[in-house]
Amino acid sequence: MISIIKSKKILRRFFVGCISITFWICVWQWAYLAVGEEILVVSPLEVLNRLGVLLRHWSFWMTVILSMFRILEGFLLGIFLGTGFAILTEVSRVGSALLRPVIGIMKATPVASFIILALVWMKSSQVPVFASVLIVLPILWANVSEGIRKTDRSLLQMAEMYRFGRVGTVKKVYLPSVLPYFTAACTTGMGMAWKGGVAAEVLSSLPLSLGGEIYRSKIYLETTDLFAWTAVVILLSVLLERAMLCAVKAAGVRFGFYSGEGYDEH
Amino acid sequence: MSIEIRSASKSYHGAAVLNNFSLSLPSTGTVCLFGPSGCGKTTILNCIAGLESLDSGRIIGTENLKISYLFQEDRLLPWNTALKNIEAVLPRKNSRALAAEWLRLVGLEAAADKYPCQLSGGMRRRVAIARALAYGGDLLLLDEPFQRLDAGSKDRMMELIEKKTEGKLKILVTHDKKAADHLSDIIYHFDGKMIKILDNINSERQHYT
Repeated sequence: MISIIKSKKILRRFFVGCISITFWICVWQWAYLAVGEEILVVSPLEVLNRLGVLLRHWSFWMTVILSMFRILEGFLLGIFLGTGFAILTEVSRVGSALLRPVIGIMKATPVASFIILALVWMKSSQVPVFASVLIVLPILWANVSEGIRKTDRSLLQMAEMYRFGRVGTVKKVYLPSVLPYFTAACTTGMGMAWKGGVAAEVLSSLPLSLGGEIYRSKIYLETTDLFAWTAVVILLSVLLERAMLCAVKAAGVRFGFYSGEGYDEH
Repeated sequence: MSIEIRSASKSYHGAAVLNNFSLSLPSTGTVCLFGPSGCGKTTILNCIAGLESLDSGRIIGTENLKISYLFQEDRLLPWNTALKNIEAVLPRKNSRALAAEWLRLVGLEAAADKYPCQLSGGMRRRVAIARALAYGGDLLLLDEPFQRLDAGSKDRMMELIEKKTEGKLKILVTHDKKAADHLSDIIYHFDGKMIKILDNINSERQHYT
């Protein structure tokens, strides 16, 4: 019975999603017809055709794979460092005093400033990784810190009383408490990593990169290519976000951090 | 093992909850602290458990003691099933079988795979009781142990606690006169400052009935 209700919910969500996408494609088509200038707005069909052409070239796949690896590398490093910094700031006063100003600066500094500075400091292929790290790190840090701080004190007392020990308390109380905050940060972080990473690729006009292709489209006023490459970035960002959420959820269920089911109040 | 509370004082935001309070507890049996809400009964349990510290005074005899604490709130891990909540306090060896047995004893074998939010208040309370008993402490602290239980469940839980903790010291905090009368060997009336023995073994039990 529950599985039927679930299937119905998934189907309904799928149809609502399809209707929503169709609506916005119609709006796009209308904008294309209203503007009437292909250099400003291209039609969805032309973008689809161009994508079809691009997909047949090996350089497209190389571009996608290399960009994806750069951004994923930055994203994962951001997760690792952001989580580590969050733990440090929550368990150590010295760590907190040292790291808070740095993270404050990271949050406030415009991404473009970082990217231009990074272009001076390092090889252009490293800049997208660096930009993604700097964008993801404060998001992870803020969310994981919040998760640690908001861990239910009464459960921690219970863990102390029943002698869970440090490892047991982390595994049985802290990790499941922090998991929703971590997941939310990863979801936001993934989108932001793509934005920052591609912006860095644009500014460094890196060969075999999505940002580089977007930059070249702009230089030669190839609006169809610009739209097509942007669509690829959006698609990759959404797909990777979904894949990451599935992985986090599977890990959560595997290690008993949550049931994987919605909690229905009795 | 006997526990002694000597000249204990504790206040929250300037309001005294315990004021130069002393009490000697026997090594076995059930001692009930009976009194109005907010008089500091739970504070005493928390101080005995070592979860809160006293402003002044001492508690002697609780060092290295394994304490099972049935908190006023159930404090079950929301991400764990009923079975896993009990398993969490058991040593690894045979923990699953032991946890299942404890669930059976509290009449919840069918709810083993249910999460706390899928259980009723009374069922959650029974899981918490099973967990406290399964842990097998030398001292059992029971804070309003029978709240949210129906009459039948309450009787069964009282019987189970009596049976499984024989020869151990239990400190019971309750408003429930029936539970206090049924389980306790000594009943103290407690108002944060003064303690008055209202009842003890086999005497004046009708006082509460």
